[in-house]
Amino acid sequence: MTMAGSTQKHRLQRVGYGLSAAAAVSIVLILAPSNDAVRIAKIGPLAAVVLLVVAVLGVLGARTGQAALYLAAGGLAVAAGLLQLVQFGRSTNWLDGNGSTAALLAGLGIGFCALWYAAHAPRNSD
Amino acid sequence: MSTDSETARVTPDPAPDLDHGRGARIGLAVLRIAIGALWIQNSGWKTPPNFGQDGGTGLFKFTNYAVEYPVFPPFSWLIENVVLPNFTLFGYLTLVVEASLGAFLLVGLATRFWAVVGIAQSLAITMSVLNAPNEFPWTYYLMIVAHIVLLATAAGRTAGLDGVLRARWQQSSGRAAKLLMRLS
Repeated sequence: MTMAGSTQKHRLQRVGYGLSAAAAVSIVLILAPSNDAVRIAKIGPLAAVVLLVVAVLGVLGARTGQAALYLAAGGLAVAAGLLQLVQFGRSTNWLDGNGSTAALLAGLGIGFCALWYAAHAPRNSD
Repeated sequence: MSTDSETARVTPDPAPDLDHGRGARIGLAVLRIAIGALWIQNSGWKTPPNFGQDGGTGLFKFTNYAVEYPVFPPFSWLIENVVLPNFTLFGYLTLVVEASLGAFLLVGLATRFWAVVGIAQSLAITMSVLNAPNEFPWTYYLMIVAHIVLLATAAGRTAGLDGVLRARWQQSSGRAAKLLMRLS
């Protein structure tokens, strides 16, 4: 691997840790009162579990450099975000969230899937 | 051998006074993430399937302000004759656009594109509610200005996915990669 490849790998690792930290910090929002001023996203118990699993997969991906773990984290977050988007405003709402929950999960999902792409796609200089 | 003055003529610094240091980069990342959080939170009260149409609340109420308290008459006409008669469709469109703004700005992917979308959406909100009672106009002016900063500085390249992925896109000859280079 070239020096550029090594730098890129280090940058991917940092972003992986950053996204994992964002997922982990979001779990704290479960404690936020139902007050629009402080609750950036509505996080219910099941959404918190999803975020925890996403964060753990993300950290493992960053630690081991296994791109498949980024894909697993991203796939889980995107699937949960889509589920929330479909169920939001209906009587059945498994994640007990709303559009903000869907947006947060989608952001994390897109982020981890993009990391998988960056780690997986061939690079000429490597 | 070239002298220092010749080198300076060949590669002039276009903005020698701009701060590109760690503090500036952290500040840009904080701004981008905060604006992402703004849109994420805003997605929370656009509730399908009727978006407040039944009780005259929520998104329907604020959209209707464009007609009740006009800011720009052609925009009010558009809301009254195109948006309100098809409100469910526009409600879903608003939800998807604002959730996407939150998602993409949070992680800094295709940031310049989403900054333009953010400017357009902020303008639409401004033209809907600016003259409504108890509104603080600078809220909406600042939303527009914040997105202009994200656009002008390509803020996703700082602690965002654009910064990581542009190296890949640059090496690719595909159309999507070339497009993403422009949008980031």
